[in-house]
Amino acid sequence: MKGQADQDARYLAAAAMFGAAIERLARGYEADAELRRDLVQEIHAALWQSFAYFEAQCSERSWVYRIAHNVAVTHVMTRRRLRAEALTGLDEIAEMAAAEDAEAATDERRIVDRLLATIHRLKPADRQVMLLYLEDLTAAEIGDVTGLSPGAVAVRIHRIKALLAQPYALKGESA
Amino acid sequence: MSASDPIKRAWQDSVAQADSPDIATLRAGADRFYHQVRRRNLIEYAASVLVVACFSVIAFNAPSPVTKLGAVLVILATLFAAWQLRRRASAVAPPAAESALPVLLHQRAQFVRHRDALASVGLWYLLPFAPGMALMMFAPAFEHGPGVLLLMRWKDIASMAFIVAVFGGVWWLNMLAARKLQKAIDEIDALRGEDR
Repeated sequence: MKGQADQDARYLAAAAMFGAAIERLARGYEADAELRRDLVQEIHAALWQSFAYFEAQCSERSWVYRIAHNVAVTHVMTRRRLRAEALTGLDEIAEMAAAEDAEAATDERRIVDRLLATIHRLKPADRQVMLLYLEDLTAAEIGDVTGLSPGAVAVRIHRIKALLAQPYALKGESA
Repeated sequence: MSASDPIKRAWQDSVAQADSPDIATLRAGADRFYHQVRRRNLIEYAASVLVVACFSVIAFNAPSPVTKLGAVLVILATLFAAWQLRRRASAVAPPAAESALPVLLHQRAQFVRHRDALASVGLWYLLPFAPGMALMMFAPAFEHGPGVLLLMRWKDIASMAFIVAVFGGVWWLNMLAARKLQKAIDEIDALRGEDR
């Protein structure tokens, strides 16, 4: 019983700290609002279960993101939403999706819309790195969560930075 | 401050807070996966009972002893497949600790498990039915000599071809899916070894 109470308490603390990040992550994996609610619920269920065997194998932050991304990837695979031919890698994306005018690019909501449109086009590994980068994880933490090698993470972060710099470069040109 | 910092901020501000589901809901939902697997298995078991019932009727009523033997073998194959399903279903749920692996390792483990399950379908789900079905299809030849095969009606040949095609088709589709998974596994291995 004590173990159960401990599991519940650890889950509640993690959910309070990472709840919003989990919602954002789910947006990156599932565009459909109804399915996204299911996905968020699945992630929370897995997270709660995971605290029965969390013994500081890695940082709690890495643990939460691993669980969340693993559930999200399984969700996408199960629903067969990922069609390899329809997705691209960071190396193939020249600019952020749904580019509109420079003025619009400075608006936060539109930036997020463009981010999501870009993220939804990405292959799984690139998508994971992008989502984790946006959550402010360090390169080492991203490697820890994804299992990508440090070099592979560094290359992807470099490409993401170049991609994300574009809206502001456009703004500078138009000013 | 890097150029991407305002974008990170916009992203993080897009959902600044979220409600968490209560523990009771999570506890109830945690078993959903097992309920789904159990439901699927129940359907398979019901189908097995139907097959056993049909072939039992054939085993009792068929005039040919070879056909009777074939029907008995199909019943045994059905029971074997149902047992295998029960044995393998317990391994369907990934080990709990696996869900905390780094994402690529988790994906790889899932792909490997699915690939192995698909690749082995021919052995435990199709092959056991082959002797019984072959005996039943070729019963006349076993009893009266191979010459009777030349006298077979086109309807009989078509139905035999259909059965072979169904078996072959199921096997081929599974192998195709297993090959696709192997490709995905290879891609993950390439990703993990990118800078090695």
